[in-house]
Parts: sequence; structure tokens; C-alpha cells
Amino acid sequence: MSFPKNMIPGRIADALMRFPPFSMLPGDEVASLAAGADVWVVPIGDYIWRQGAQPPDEVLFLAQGRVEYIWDNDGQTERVDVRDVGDVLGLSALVRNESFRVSAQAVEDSMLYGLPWAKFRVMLGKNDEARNYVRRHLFWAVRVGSQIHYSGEPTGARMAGRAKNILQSHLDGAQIIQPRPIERLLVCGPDATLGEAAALISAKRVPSILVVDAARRPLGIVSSAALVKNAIVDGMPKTTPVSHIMANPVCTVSPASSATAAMLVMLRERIGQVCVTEDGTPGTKALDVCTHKDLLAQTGHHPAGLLREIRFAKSPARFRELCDEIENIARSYLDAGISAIYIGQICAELYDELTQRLITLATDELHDEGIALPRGVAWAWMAVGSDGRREQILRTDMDNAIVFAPLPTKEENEAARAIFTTLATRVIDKLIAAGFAKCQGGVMALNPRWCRTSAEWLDEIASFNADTDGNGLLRALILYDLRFVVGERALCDALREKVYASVSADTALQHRLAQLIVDNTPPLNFIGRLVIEKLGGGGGGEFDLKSRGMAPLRDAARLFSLHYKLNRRYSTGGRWEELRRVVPQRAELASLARDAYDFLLGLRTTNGLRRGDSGRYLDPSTLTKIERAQLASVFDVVRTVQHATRFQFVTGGRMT
Amino acid sequence: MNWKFWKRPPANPTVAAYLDATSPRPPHKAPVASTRFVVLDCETSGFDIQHNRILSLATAEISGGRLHIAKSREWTVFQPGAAMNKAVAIHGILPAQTAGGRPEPEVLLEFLQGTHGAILVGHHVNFDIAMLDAALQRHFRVTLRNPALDTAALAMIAIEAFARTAYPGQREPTLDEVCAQCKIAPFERHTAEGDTFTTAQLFLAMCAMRQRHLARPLTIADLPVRNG
Repeated sequence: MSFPKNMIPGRIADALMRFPPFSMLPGDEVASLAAGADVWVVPIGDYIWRQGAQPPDEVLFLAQGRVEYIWDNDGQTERVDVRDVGDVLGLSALVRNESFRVSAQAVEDSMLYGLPWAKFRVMLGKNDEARNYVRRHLFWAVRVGSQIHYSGEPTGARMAGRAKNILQSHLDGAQIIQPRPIERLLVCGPDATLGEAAALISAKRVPSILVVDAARRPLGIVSSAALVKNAIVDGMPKTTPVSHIMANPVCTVSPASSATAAMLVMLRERIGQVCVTEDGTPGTKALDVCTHKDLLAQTGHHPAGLLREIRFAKSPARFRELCDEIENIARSYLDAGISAIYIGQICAELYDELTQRLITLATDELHDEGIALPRGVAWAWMAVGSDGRREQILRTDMDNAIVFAPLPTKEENEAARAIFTTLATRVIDKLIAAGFAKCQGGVMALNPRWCRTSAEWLDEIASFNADTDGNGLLRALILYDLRFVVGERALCDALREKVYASVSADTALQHRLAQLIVDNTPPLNFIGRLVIEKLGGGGGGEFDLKSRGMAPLRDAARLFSLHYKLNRRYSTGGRWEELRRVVPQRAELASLARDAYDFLLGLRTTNGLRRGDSGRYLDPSTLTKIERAQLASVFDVVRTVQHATRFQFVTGGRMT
Repeated sequence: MNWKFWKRPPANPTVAAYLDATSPRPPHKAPVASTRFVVLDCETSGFDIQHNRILSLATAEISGGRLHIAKSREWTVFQPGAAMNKAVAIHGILPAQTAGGRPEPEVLLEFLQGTHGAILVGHHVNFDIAMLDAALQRHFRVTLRNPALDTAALAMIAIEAFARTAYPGQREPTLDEVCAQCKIAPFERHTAEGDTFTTAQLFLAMCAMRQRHLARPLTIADLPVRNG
């Protein structure tokens, strides 16, 4: 008889195999799972299980139809999630061995396959890929009160061969060691005295000297630490030959080896220098001595290397290249699953360094043209807005301002302002050449409105109150995020103190700011991805990630930190972090909000890199299933934050 | 006292147990959720009940409202006398292939053991029952006593598109048509096992529809079950 013996289980298995995690399991195991399956149909409106029930010993597979998860929270019910064909139901409760946190209701006639859980659990135990998949899905239950983990683990989109860790992303961009010109190599013979060696080291300002023979083959190395220990601590006479104290044999590498590998050698050997020789053995001529710092600077894709490059760069083309490189680093870090908030901080450091370098160049240019900065006038370059919050990962915007010390007369002030705006114009032209986009709102130091004396700024900050109109309030919000970049720090600190002093004392203004957070976004009764799609209807099916998700979190962080006078941190992530540590009753909210903001920033940056724009608008169809679920959790946090803001600032602590 | 004295009690104990356990009248007030259904389908060598033979038979069991995959059965019947005819083109079972099958009496006894007290479900189930009856009559001089439910008839109640009209020439919907209405992909058509599985899914889907329509849990009386 030629019929396959198990045609019906085969059919079930085929249906299962089209979806993860079953697609990750071996075919015969899925077949055996299917052989023990039950099939049934649940009519519209019937509950598959109720909240609080104990899960039966089976995993449910939705073969047809649609199921919604309903959460009954103290008498208020809300839909928290939607499952459709191919989803596995009830796994979270089984894996955690707890009762169901939500009720599951069929919203279409739904055909379910019930699979034996005991058998499935054994399979998951044996198959790592499927188990990881299931574990990543456990946050499905998050929104109803369990711990959030958005995964340092890469999400679905990144699983497709792109996942790498941070070391890999460094190795990928790593360069080979490039020896510097031979004149820079500091050497002495073995007979040289300690005194001579010390003199050479301090003259050349390097941490060590290489001891070589007549053919410039390395014999040993004398570090400044060894000199200190022997000559100063142990009191060895200065006339002792260096061969007495040199460290040997010398650890050598060849010039063709990877800079990262050389660093690892140094770490393993616990030494501070490595010698580069012609063929990598001590038997050939020495070419260079590299320290950690040198190698770090040569390691590709490393921010430290870029920082150094920025300091020495001159031409606009070079700056553009470096900025592209910064974006590459951001991209590879995002792929490696690094927190977007940290990446923002790294990028902010680099862009600050860039601004500093550009200001130096612009000042020199002006000087050459005979325009000098006003003598004796203290001034500072400030980053405001997103730049001030260290969230500028992509070069899609720039927000900056200048503050300078007031001069006795109005004419002098205007003259100084003219010079500073000229300087700012030069700097901003250079930034644009480096690939930055101009600020649409004109928040740039070349604009006289953003180039003011400290007295003017202080007056303006003091003038913000609850009656300020919309534009004024926007200006205030941008200004509240000010951060010192270059120049006279005291000027910026004074402004910042004034901001905190004036806002934290003004309850009415806080109320007004809270209104923005609560009202500015539509009421987010966010229910799964379908609603994301529906809500995003305006922008051609696209969804505004910034105003819907990030803005309330960002503004709430600012408001809370102003309210509690937490002025040590600048970034939104940092503000939530500080709030978590300092204000215990907001600790839980703050840590949730921080994670949510981190996720959104990462999503927006990835999206921006993919689309080559600011990443503000997101097409929901490009999201993977997991990302959609995560996004839904994030919006739940947004709503919680809005509730908290309303409670604290709008209703003044009264329940409505 | 045996009132039906013209009927001899069956000699075979399995058949006798089946007859004892099975009532021809369905329990009309019993909820569907607690009733046992046996979905069946057989492939035959033709439509002539007296002359054609069963080539393969499959059953699936629905109890507690669920189709239990583990309890589904499938038999190929050894039919040395089966002729090569047009039916072969439909189900693709060559007479020679049945040589690997089991003798008809054995298959029938196993089938009877699995259908104690159950309601038989099939698409155009009357034909399948007639074929089985003919075979049972040949070997054991009995016929099936189970109540039966035709999913084609159920479809005409449960699905608007197949509702009975007053126009002449209306026929009962085919399995494929019902599948299309229920959005279930037919599977391995014209194999006993495949059709059984498809029919079982249709039955579950249509019960759900009927339940939604009536807005209460179903009882047997809500389904077009005929007496055995």
C-alpha cells in the first residue's frame, strides 16, 4: 500500500512548519507533535481562556482566525494584544508556569491546534534556536504587569545574519598597524645611561624608550615607570646602563597585523607597549613602538580613533568623511545591540569635538581676514534642543546658540553680536559641508535671536511663564535643554541654573508644560499593531515615531528633572536615570520610561539609517512581529508616563 | 424475548457488542460538546452499491468538541475482485495496490469497535453508510445503527450561501464548495484520510457558525442528524 501512513498529522505538521518556532525544529519532531494534536473551532466572541485560569497542558496554535487578549485591570477591561494566523497562544503562562494574565477572546471563528506541552517543552529544551525565539516572545505578556526586557538581544530584523557584537563590529573595521615615520622612534643603545634615557623620554614626551643593538634590532624596552622605580624609588645611580633595567624580551608584532589583535596581545601580556618590527620577530629591525593609545586611535570604527582624527582634520571633505564614519560606528553599534542612549552620548562627544575644531578653524580664518573676536568678551557656544540632550546620532538637524558677556553700551553689544554671528555663520557653513542639515526652525547661532548676551538670555528665561504663546514655549523647551560646548563654561552654567531656578519655582508653568505632554499626542489607547497602522493613516500609512512616542517621554523627562531640580544630566535617558535614583516614588516609572525611550531612539535611528532621513516617520509594515509587539509595550509606557504627568502636574495630585 | 424472530442474533461477538452499545436514535437534548462524533469517508471502486467495493476507509473522532488527531484511523481494504474502472481515475487507487491492504471483515470489525454509540459524520454520508452496510450485510448480515449527519445538509442550514431555496434544480453543495465558504483549504482530495480530515474541519467550523447564529451552546437537535 503506497499511502503515507500519517497523512493527517502530516497536514498539521505542514501548517505548523510554516511558522516559528516550529520552523526551527526538526521535521520529524514537529510531525510527532502534530500526531498528538487536537483540532477545534472557537466561534466569534467565545473565550479561549479566562484571565486567572490555570493553563491546560497544551500549547495552542492559531491555524485560522484572530484572537484578542483582553486584560481586566481592576474592573477596567482593555484589549492589550492581537494574535492572528500562525501565532502561538498561551505559551508565556506555560513557560512561566503561572495562571493566565489576560483573557483570550476569539474575534473571528478561530481554528486552534492544541499541542501537547510536555512534549513541546522537551523539544524546546533541545533546540536552542527555537528556545531563544520563545524566550524573546515572553515579553508579550509584559504590558500586563511583568518585567520589561526589550532585549539587549538583537531583534528579529537583526537576526538575519546581521547580528554582531561590539567586538566584532570593531574587528570588522579594524585597520592593520601602520608604523609611523622612523624618525619618531625613540631608541638608545644598551650602554646608554639611565640619565640619558630619562632625558630622551622627557624631551620627546613618550612613555618609553626602545633599547636596540647596532642593527636596530630590539633588545629591550625601558618605560618611564621602570625609570621611576629604579632611579627614584630604589636610588640606582643615574650612570647605570639601561641594559640593567630594561624589560626583555620585547613583545613584537608585524606591521601587517590587526591593531585590535595587537591590543589584545598587550592586554594579555600586561604590558603598555608593543614593538613593531619588520617581520614581527625580535630578530629584525624595529619600526615603531605603539602604546594602547596609539593602537586605539588606529583601531577602525573606534570613537577614540575618530576623536583624534577630528582634532587633526582640516579640509571640509575630510570632516564629511569623518562624519560618515561616525554614522557607520552608530550603525554598527546599533547592530550590535548597544543602547541608543549610549550611542547618542558617544556621537555627542564626537560632534562636540567637531564643533570645537570647526570653531578653532573659523576663528583662525576670521583672524586671517583681519576680523578679531571682541577682546576680553567671554562667550560660549551652546548646544540646545536635541543636540543639547546628546541625542543627535544622525546629521539631520543642528541646534546651537551663542551666549556672550554683556558689554556696557547697546552699540557695543550689537557690534559684538555681529562678529559672533559672522563666526557662527562660518562654523555652520562648515557643519553643512560636513553633512549636517540646517535647522528648519532656525535654531542656529547665526540667527541673532540665538546669539545673545547672558543678560538677554537670563531675561528671556525669566520671562517664560504660563501665558507664553506656543512659539515662545517651543523656544523655551529648546532652551531648557542647553548644554555647554566650547568657550566660557560659567556663562552656560549661569543660564542653566536660572532655567532650573525659574521653572521649578513656577507651578503654573509646569502645569502648562505638562499640558503639552498630555495633550500634544492623541489619546493612546494603543492596541497592537493594527491600531498602529490605523493611527498612522495620515502620512501615507506611515507612523510618526517622534511626536507619538518620543516627544511625550522626552518632555516628561525634562519636566520631571526641572521639577525636582535634577540638573546633573542632559540626555533624556540620563534624566530618567537620575529621576530613578533620586526620587524613589518615581523609580519604577523612570526605569520603564528610560528603556522605552532607548528602544524608540534605537528604532528611529535604525529607521533613519535605512531610509537616509531623520527616521521620524516609520512604515509599520517594515517592522517585524517582535518589533511591533515591543512598540506596543513602549506605547503602553508612554501612556503610563502621561498618566503620571497628568496626576502630578495637571490635576495637582488630585485623582480625576 | 426476541420479538424480531426473523433476525438471527449476530454470531460475531464484536458485532453484537456494537449493536448493544449503539442506539439508532440520537440523544436530541445532549449538548454537542459532550457528544462523540465519528467522521468517516471511504473511497470505492464505483457508485454501484451492490457491485462496487470499498477500497479504503478513514475515520476521525470528535469528542468534547475537539478533533483528536491521535485517534484518527485509516484502513486500506484488500479487494481482489475490484475492477479497473473510471473511479480509479478519481482516487488513484489501482486494484493491485489494495493487495497490501487488510481483508474486508477485519477492517469492518475494527471500524465497528470505534463507532460504538457515536454519530457518524460525512459529506454525503449516506453513500458511505450504504457502502458499509452492503459490506456488513455480506459478511455479518447486519447494518449500521448509528445516527448520521450529512455535512452537505448541515451546510445548507449553517451557511447562508447554501440555504434551501424554492427554485428547482438546487443540489447539495459539494465538499469543495463548502470548503471555499468556510475558507478551509481542501487537503488531499479523493483520499479517504484527506477527505475525512477536511470534513471534520468543516463540521467543526459549521458547528461554530451555527452556535454563533443561535447564540447558545448547541444541542444535537440543532443539527440535521437523522436516525440510524
